[in-house]
Amino acid sequence: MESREFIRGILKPLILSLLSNRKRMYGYEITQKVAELSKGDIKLTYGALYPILYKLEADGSLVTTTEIVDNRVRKYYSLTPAGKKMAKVKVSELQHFTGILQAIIEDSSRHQLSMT
Amino acid sequence: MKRLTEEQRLQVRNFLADQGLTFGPLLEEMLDHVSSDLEERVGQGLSLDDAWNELKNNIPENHFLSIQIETMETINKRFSISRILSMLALALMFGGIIFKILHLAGANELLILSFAAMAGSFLSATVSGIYLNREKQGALRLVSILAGTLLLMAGFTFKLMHWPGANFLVTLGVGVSLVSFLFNTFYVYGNSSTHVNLLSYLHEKHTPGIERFLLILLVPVAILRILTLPLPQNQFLGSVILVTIIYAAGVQFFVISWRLLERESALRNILNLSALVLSITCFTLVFLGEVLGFEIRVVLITVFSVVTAWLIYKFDPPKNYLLSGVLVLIAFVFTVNMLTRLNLVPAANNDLIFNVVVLLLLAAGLFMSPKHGATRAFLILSLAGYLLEFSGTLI
Repeated sequence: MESREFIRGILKPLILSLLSNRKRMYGYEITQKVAELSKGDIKLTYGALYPILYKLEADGSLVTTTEIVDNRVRKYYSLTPAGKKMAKVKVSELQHFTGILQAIIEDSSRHQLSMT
Repeated sequence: MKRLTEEQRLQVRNFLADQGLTFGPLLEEMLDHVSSDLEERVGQGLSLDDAWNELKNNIPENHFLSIQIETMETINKRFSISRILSMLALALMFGGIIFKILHLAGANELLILSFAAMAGSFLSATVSGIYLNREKQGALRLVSILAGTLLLMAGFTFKLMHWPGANFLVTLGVGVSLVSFLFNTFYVYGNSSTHVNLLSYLHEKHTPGIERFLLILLVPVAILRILTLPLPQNQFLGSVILVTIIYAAGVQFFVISWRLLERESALRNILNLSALVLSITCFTLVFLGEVLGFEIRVVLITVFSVVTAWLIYKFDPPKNYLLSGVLVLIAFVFTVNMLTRLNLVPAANNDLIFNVVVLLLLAAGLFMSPKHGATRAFLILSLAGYLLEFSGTLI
């Protein structure tokens, strides 16, 4: 499993990105999708997921609808127009940051090789 | 995939509640998530007991409580203007009372500013709540309650300042409040929580804050009242605060009852509906004040106390005998109070109900009901009403 601190940092763009490709998702579905796409490396805990979902909802990035499924109340999240814009920005920022990290790591690796 | 039975679902719900989850929307969501997790494990071949143990073992201590605290903090940051105004209202109200005690000029003005800050707090919480939850149903029902409350506050402000039109504003406020309370009652009676009701949703977020606000108001006024006994109600300077507490705690009780009605289909029956309608009607009409006769008001207060104590047994059953006893005591106190006020029994019976033992029992009820929102709202209301009606000395 990946580092929890690292996952916390990327959780917001990760959720926004998932929702930008789908009409709506519920909490359990999000954790399953993340586990599936990361081949089991990222397992979202309840504590990591729900405060972020509520924060995004309070910010106006997500909108919720509720349905009764199997006698249980199921809450679905979908992106608002503002959330869609935010998703693009956050994913782009994450990609940019990943690129920077990649460049730093590659430079560090090259430096280590030249030292040896 | 095999689904959990109703009994198993209840077991998960109780587990989550025992873990400290009290915020309804989060509890329902976690119930769905944990149930789905369990069903997945059972689908992979585990027995339900093994799946349940595995899942529980993977959950750190106080995990759900931490999620709830973090979630509530996230949500509540949005309502900072409302919080600041409610704190300002508290400060101004106590300032007004201190000014009155010291016979300083401007006491009434401070109390009016306090009402204005309180109104601003309700208004900002409502407006931001409606704006941030545009997709949820019930904005009009929420606004109607706010309108009734603001009209009543305006009416009492006019009364305080002896301005003309006070009775008209109070009557209008009572009328709007009564219609909005009854409309909300019939709405939740006909609609379960499958529809996200904006009022329930917002109230659930604010419930702990409202309760804190009421207790902060009640404790010092209770002390002041005890110190100034046997001063009659109309000469007690904190009466305006006690009336404010009674109204706010009453509304708190009704909204919690609506939430319980929405959630528990077993509670939705004609008897409970009739009792709630009677409770709301008696409670709201009392605020007409001298527009109604004194005798009618005393009877309304008593009917409200008895019917509401019964409703508590149905909606929010007490977990111990002492709390049950306190609820019976409230109904008894206000019934004896009515009988003595109407001269149906000798005034000496007042000593039976207005004394330190009864006061301590009512206060103890608050400590015995930490997870019973409806009971606590009723106890706060009853305690404020008891202090207002108190006649004689404590011992």
